[in-house]
Amino acid sequence: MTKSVSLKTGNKMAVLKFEGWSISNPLASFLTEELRKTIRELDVFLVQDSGITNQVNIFLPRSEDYWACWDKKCAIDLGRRLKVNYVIAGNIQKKDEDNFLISGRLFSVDMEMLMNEFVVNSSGITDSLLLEMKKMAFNVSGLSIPDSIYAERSIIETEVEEKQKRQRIWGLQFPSIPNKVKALMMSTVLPGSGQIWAEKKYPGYSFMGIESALGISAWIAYKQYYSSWGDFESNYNAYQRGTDPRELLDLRPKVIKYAQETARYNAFMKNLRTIGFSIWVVNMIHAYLVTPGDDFFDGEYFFDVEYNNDENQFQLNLNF
Amino acid sequence: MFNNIFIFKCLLLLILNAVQGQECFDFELAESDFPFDHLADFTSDEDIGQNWGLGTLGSGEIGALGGNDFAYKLTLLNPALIYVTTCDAETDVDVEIAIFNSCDSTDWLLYQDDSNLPLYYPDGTSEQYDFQCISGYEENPTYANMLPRLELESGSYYIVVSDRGYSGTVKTYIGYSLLVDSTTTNEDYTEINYHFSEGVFGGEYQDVYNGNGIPLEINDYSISINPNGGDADEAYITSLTTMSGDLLSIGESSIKVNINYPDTPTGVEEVTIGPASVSSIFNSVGIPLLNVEGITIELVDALSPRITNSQPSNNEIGIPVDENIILTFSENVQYDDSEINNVNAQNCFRIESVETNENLDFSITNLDDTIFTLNPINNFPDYTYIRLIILETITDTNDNQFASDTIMFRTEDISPPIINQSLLASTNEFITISFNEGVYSSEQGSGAINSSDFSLIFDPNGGNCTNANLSAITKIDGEELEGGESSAKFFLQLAGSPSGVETFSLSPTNSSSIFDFEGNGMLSISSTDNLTLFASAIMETFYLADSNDYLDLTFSIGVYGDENQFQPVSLSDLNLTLNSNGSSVLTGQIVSLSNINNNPLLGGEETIRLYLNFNEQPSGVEFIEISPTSNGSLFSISGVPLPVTENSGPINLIDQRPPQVDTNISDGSENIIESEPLRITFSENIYDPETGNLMTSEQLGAYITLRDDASEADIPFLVDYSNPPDLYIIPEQDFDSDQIVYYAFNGLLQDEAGNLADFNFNATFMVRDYLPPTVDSSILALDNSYIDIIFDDGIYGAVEFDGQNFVGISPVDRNDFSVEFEPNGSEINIVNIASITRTDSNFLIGGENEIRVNFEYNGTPNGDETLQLIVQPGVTMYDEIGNQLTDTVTIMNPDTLYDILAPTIDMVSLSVDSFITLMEDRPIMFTFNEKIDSIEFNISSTVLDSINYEYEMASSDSSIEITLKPPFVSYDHISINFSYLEDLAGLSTVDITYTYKTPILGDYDFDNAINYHDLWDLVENWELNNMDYEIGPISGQVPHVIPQLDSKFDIEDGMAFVQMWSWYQKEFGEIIEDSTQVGRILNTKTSKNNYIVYIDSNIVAGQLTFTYDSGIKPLQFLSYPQKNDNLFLEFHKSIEGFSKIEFARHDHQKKDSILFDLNQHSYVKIFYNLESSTKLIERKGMINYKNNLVPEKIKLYPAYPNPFNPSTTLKFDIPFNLDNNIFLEVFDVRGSRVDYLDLGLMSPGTHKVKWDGRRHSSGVYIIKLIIGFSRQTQKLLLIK
Amino acid sequence: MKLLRIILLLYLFIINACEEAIYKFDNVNDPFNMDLEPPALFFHPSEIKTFVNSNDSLEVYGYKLDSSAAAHLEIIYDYGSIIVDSVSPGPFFQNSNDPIEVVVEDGNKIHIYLYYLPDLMMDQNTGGTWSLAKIYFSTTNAAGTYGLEFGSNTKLRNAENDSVRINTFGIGSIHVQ
Repeated sequence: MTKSVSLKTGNKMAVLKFEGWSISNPLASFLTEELRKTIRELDVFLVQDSGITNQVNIFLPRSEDYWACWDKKCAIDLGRRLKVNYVIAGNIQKKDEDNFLISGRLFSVDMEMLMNEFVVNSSGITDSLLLEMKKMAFNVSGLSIPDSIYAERSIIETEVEEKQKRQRIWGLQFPSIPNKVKALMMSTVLPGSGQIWAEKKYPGYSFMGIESALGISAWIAYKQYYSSWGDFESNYNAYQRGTDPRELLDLRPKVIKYAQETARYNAFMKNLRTIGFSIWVVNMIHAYLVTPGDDFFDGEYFFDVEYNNDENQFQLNLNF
Repeated sequence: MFNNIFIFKCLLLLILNAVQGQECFDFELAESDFPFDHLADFTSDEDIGQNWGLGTLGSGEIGALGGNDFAYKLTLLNPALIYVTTCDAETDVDVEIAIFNSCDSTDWLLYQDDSNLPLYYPDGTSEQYDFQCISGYEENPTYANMLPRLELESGSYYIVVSDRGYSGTVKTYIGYSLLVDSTTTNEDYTEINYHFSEGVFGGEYQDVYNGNGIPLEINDYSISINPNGGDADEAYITSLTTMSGDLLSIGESSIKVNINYPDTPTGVEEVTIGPASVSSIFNSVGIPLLNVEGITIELVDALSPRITNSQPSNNEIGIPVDENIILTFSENVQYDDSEINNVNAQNCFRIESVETNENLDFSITNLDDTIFTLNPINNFPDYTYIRLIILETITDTNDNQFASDTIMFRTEDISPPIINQSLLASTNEFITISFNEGVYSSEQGSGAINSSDFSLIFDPNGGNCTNANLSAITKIDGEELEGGESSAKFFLQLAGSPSGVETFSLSPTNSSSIFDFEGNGMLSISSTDNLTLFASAIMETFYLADSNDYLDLTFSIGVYGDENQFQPVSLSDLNLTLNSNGSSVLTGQIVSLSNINNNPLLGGEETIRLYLNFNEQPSGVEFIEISPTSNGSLFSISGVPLPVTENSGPINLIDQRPPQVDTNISDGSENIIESEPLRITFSENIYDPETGNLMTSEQLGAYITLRDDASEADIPFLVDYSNPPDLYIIPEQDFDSDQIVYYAFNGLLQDEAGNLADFNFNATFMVRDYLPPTVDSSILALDNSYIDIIFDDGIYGAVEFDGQNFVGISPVDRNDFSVEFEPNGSEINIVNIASITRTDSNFLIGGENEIRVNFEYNGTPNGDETLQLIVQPGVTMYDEIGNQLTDTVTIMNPDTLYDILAPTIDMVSLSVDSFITLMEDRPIMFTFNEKIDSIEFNISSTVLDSINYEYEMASSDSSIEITLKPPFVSYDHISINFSYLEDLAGLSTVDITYTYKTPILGDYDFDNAINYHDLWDLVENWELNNMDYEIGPISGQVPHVIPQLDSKFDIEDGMAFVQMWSWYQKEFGEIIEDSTQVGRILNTKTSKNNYIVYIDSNIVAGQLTFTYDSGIKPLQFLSYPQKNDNLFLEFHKSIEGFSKIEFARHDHQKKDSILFDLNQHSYVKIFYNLESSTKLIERKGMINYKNNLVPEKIKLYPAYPNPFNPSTTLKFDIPFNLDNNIFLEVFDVRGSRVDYLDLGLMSPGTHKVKWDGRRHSSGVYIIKLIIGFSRQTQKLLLIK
Repeated sequence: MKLLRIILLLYLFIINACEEAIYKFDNVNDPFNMDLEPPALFFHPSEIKTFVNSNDSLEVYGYKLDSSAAAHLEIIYDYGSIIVDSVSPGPFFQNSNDPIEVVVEDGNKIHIYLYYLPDLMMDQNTGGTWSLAKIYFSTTNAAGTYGLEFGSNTKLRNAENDSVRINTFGIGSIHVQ
């Protein structure tokens, strides 16, 4: 009985974010994370957490964008900065609607050399891209791809069909809403959210901040109004029931004072209301204007409403 | 189900085995891996190799190696003794073992199941061993294998251990068996060194198994001896050590066994030594050393013969001269394989004298080839070291050669010590004598000789040196003798410088003074040679210069300052001794030397000039003597020193001093008796310079002057020189009292030596006062207080005779005088002498010319009185020398006193500070002390500009009545000031003032306070409409108001009272702490947190005043049930720590109580004053209420006062007991600590401490109070 | 879910406004409604309804009085209508000490002398609207309506003994049934 030799060499590895050519950044980072996760599970390499790897650009800024770190010198320099022994870099190209090309390189920082190179063609939906990334993880770890991966592929295909079938079942085929309208709708519900979704973060956050500020000051004003009204009521009742002249004389100015306060707070709140409303409208129009057209933009929903059939509930997912 | 799996697994293994080919072991090792150990873990199913099922071994008893097994393939390159054991704590299963020659399980070598079971061999034979074995298999620890020694040829072997199917772990050890590599011994076989193949351990197997094997012990070894006819039949192991002789620890691979043979082996014995048993010596894993049979060693005699005893022994002394020498050898000895006898003795032994190396003949007797006696033919020389040499030619029967040896001894000393040699030092200083042996002063051979043991016979032979004696004896190096010295130095002391003819010799005082060590006494006849002193220089003659300046000293031969004749004589070489002989010449020294031509000395001179110097000119009675400073100062030209006893003899100095003069009355003498003659004394007889004859009285008279110093009138006198050298001058009549006399002696005279003296001597002196004192005058003081008396002499109250004359000792006293006084109608009738002082009012000390007599009158003199001072009867006063003034002398006439009585006011009808009622006229009568000539007075008020008044002077001019008229102002001070009074004598007095007060408006009871009494009076009388109590309306400013009464009570009266009340409280609101006790103590009770004061029924009014810690909340007044029916006043001043409650209840009297909360205060003083309706004080006094209020937390109160000067009080709370002291530190603004107080331990509660800033300058200070871990700080301001 | 609640509130806030405070000072005991020109003295209650042979009380009130140190209240009432039982000083002259109070009855008049007893801090009170005195009386068996008024000697003084201005004196009535 021979025990398979464990290659647990304890070497540390950093997986740089794969560059997305004509695919969105979120999708590229999602697929890169899948690769990291799988390599880590195979327990051959000690894979560095994405948070640390991604910081390299912030803390160790380089002249050009490090995502294009395809050549040996750049990869080894980054590997040394990240204090790892191996670096993986790569890119994902969208050839056409259904065809993607995934290419990756394994560099050894200690030996300062390119260890291995992988190129995979993938077609179809994202899930098959995920499978390709898993297969690349086994290749990088020097392990043979187990049958389960193949089995898994078949499971995914059946899931896809079921999903399509389910969609058909309850027929809620979302009409494809134009992006601008989507942004408008979002900003209507929550000011600034449409802009943020359309990658116009600063205006988006500004609108959201202003509306929140107005909301909070309205809230404070309302609380003041509420307490003044309470004082007014208690003093006025005391005056009406009072018998002692001195007390009555004392109560008069108080009643007058609190009555005036309630009037003042009331006016303040009315003004706030008009200002807040007009800003809200401006924000809706702005969202509509700034959102790019459909062909240029495959934004990820800032939020989506999802039907969870297991728990028979609609779920609102928010993605900041 | 389990079995199926088990079978399945076995099949599988088999298949695998088959597949993998011949290799049937799990582990391969070689000799290089020794000592090898391995843990086979059968639980993880490591047994995946070949299954060595030994079920096929021989008969049934043999186990089957069933279950899991583990095979070790061992390859031996050459034959070896190895051990295999599975006895270990990690073996936790019943294990079997088998060894195979190849993978063929039938080709086995041996098998064993358990350690206590036999070892089986293929040929059916078996062997039973009982080697100890312990394993970790709890059921039976012996179910393992202990094979300590397997003899295997070179080749491969398969050692298989099996767990019999019980699935556990087996620990297997394989290595070379424990052997003794080699042994070595020392010469006499007392040490055997064991070299083992590896580190060994002693004790039991259990100890080694448990890992704490102990070092080898003696009982781990066994030893036996086979005498084989030799002497030694016993041998014991004394100890086991490391090779370097240290104690064994554990794990040594070489051990030294120390053996003792009670009888010395003769060389034929055999010793056998080995482990005590198979379980005494182990290696680190418990493998025992087997070859119990041990090693046998033959003891061959290798020792050479020795001398075990000799008589006499080596270095012995005092051996009789005819003594034989006896030798004893350690074993039989022989010479050239034959017996030692007189023939061959000379080749074996040799006797000789150490000093002379002279060979001494002897004969030998051989007792038993071990004991020999050597007999000297002639006696040994006495007191001589003899040496016996034993040669190597001697051997024992085993031809072991004798190591040559020598024995030395000294023969006894029987001859007395003799003087060998004596030599006189060239400096005559000492003689060196050497004896033939060490000499002592006692028979016992101890003690050093001394001078008294020798006598010196001296013969001057006419030389200068008259005598010599022995001063000291020392060792040759000058050290003190200790006894036993064979030579010494004898120091001489010569009397005078030797001429070179003097001879002497030394010999023992008697025959029992000097001994040798043996006590032989030196004969008295033995003596040194007759020795002649070396000639030295002698001081022969001297010449002293007339002026005593220098002295020429002539020696017999030339002299030098050193013995080598280099240095001339120097100052330090010569010594001058002076004998003053009573003169005033006290010091004389040699100041320089020269030769007779006054040139510096070169050395070798016969005559030396000594320049002398004296503190005064010699008067001819003095002697000097010159001698060498020490024995080594002067040396003759032949180098012989002059002894210190050589000297010049007494040299009389020449008189150079002119005659001196002295007198019995020195210049400025006093109290000289009027009849005393003058005496002049000359130091020697005086002669007429012209005639050279002794002077006569008549001649000397011309030289004398005697006159009154003041008037310069000559005083006639007589001259008496009948007793030279005393000359007497006798006045013809007594000198006057206190007279100052001048006298002188002038003229040129000479003494017998012709020394001229020009006398110009003079002196003045004062004759004593022998007349009594008298009063010159007396003066009365203008205020009659004293009389000054002026005497013509110093006056004393008493004198004392001190043997020569009277001396005033104490001043006059007031009791020495008395007063005669006539009042002549004056009020005064008593006059006393208060004191007698000097005129500057200081105390009398005696001898004063002026004294002051101070008087006391019982009134003031008005000028009519007369007074006279007289000496008390029987009293005598004296001047400074005792002349007397008695009571019969009238010292003054009666004197009239001056009028000094100033006019004043004797009586007043209304005493000062009395009250003047506001609304009424007020007459006041003033009575004077005498008739008044003129008077001026004015009346004023502190508030009003003027006061209405009328006045009337009495007819007798001795009193006046003044009537003050309203309106008066309340709380006013009215002063009547008599600005000028003059009496008939013109004496006047100014500014006599009488002040009266007007009451505070509303202070009905005139107690200078407006309180509840007055309020009660007002309210009560308002309701009774009693107009006496009406006080409003008023005009003016409070408190100085003028009542404008309108005879009705209305708001005005109330306002007046309230305004006065308000002013009073502001002005005098402070507390008067009057704690005098009247009546019974206040009836109080403390319940829960409250303090209850009970008011008896008869109490009508009261005042309760509280003082407490300042700065805390005011006192809490809780309840007073009947408050509303009474007059009730409450009043708080918490900043200053006091509150006041006053109440008045004028109609119904019931028992009542007032409730207070005192909890805020740690202490409260309650002053109470309760009155009944008759205004009598029922209860009055003070109660101290202590509230052991433990503060909740540490707190430092604001310092009070602050700013402060010079001190402030700090109050602080301590809530709990503290272990350490409280400290107060004070820092100035710059942060440096200026003061530090250790307040010591303090109990919980409120405490106060005062800090005094007197020593510090003004400014801001920060105090830090350290209470436990708490630090409280505060800023203080010191303003000076 | 918190965010949702805020959004809902915002909607509510936008839709409806808040209530206005409306009031009317019509209390009879309010001196403001007594047609008095301050500073004034008045009876409280100005109209007393009581029964024959019963006990009741009324207070003499000051309305916005200046600082005072003493008061002389002369109260005139219909003789025989009531019997004055006792008079207790009101809080007007109260400080840490009770005021001095002297009461003199004079036929159908009652003279009440009140003095502020000064303490260390103050010689007179701070004035204002306070009860000066409370008169306890009992009615006789004569029913009817009787009048109460202040006598001409009624006056107030300050600490300097100067008169204190009083503009109006209220009147009172007792209805005995």
